[in-house]
Amino acid sequence: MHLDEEQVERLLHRELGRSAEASAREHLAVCPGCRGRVVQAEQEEEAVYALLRHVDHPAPGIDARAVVARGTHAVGSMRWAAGIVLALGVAAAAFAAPGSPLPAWAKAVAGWIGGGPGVRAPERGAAGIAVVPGRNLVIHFTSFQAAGQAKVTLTDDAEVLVRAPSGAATFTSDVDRLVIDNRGSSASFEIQIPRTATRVEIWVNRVRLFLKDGPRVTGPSVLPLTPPAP
Amino acid sequence: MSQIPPALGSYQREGTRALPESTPSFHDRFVSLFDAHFHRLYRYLDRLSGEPELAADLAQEAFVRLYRRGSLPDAPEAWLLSVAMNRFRNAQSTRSRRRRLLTVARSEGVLSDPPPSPEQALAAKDVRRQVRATLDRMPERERRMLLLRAEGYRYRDIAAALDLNEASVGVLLARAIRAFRTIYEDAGDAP
Repeated sequence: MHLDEEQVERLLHRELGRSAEASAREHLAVCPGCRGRVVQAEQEEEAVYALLRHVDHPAPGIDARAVVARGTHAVGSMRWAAGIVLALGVAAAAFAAPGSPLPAWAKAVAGWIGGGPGVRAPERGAAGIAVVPGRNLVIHFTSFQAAGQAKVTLTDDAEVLVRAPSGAATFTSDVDRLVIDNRGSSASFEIQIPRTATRVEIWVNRVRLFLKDGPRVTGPSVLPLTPPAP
Repeated sequence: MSQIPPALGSYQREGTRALPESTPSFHDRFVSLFDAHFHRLYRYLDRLSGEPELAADLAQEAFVRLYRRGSLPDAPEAWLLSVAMNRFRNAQSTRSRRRRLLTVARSEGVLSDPPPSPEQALAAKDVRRQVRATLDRMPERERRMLLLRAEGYRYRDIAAALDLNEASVGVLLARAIRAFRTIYEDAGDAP
């Protein structure tokens, strides 16, 4: 049996399994036709690769240390950002706590500085996570909630962003899935999905409520996180 | 509504990421991966885009993200390709045609080893322009497939990057080679 085109290519690229490769080579030993096809495929490929080298530019002088330094710096920056968000969250909680003197103090200070009518309460720190969607990203809310919803919007960004403005959730992610542990939560969520994302699914417990498959979107833009009616 | 697959369950990292400093083995593996794959990722992106600065940025950014991730995914090469290609698509969508033309004009002036004679320099410039034009005219999937294989990516990574059935990668690669040759030869015949 002669080699088909897939086998010829796989033989060239060492992508046949060990026994399949042995069989193919046995056949080549007795079949000049297939041998000629393999040689021709190899020569054509090498000719094309030689042409491709004409458009190459010198490789940049970037080494692993530079990349590690950038990655480490980014992690350091994230720590600072996390610290600031935490501090803001604590301040906001103190500000909003019943009986807290902070609103009155702030109002007094604002009036003293600017003479304005009052001060807006700062927003609480929001929990969230951003991930690169890859080819297929599953966003999984682990539980139904007693209340709350997830609002989905499409963006021009490169990453999927999930935020819980009230901050009551734990996020876990891997290259193709993002898990939101929302047990006992009644938070609402915001989910931003890049228009360029190939495929993104949103599941709540064991139910898929949303699918973006290329340009086609199936599901509402506001997803109820409450259990479906029986 | 459909049922979630039961496989969903094991996850590798927390949203609050593990700090790379606490995992020296990850650091060593990362450096090995970088040394083995950075240049071929760069070269793939350079050939794909025709923009060496953009290619260097994208390749570096992909590795920075991998480092920040704090652990290696199951298929790190496919992961790096996926991140770089997402960034590339994003960059493509926001770039103006004017910039692209400027870059092409500039890249044509890049010569690593100047040929010994003006005739050879002219011939090399013509070949470079013709190859670039050929790549730009190829169907997107075939172009990416050809360039990935030219950098030695395995069939499974090519299939993952292009969302293909791995069993048919060989045939599709052969088609991509033929497409390149046909377009290149047609371009050479053109006045």
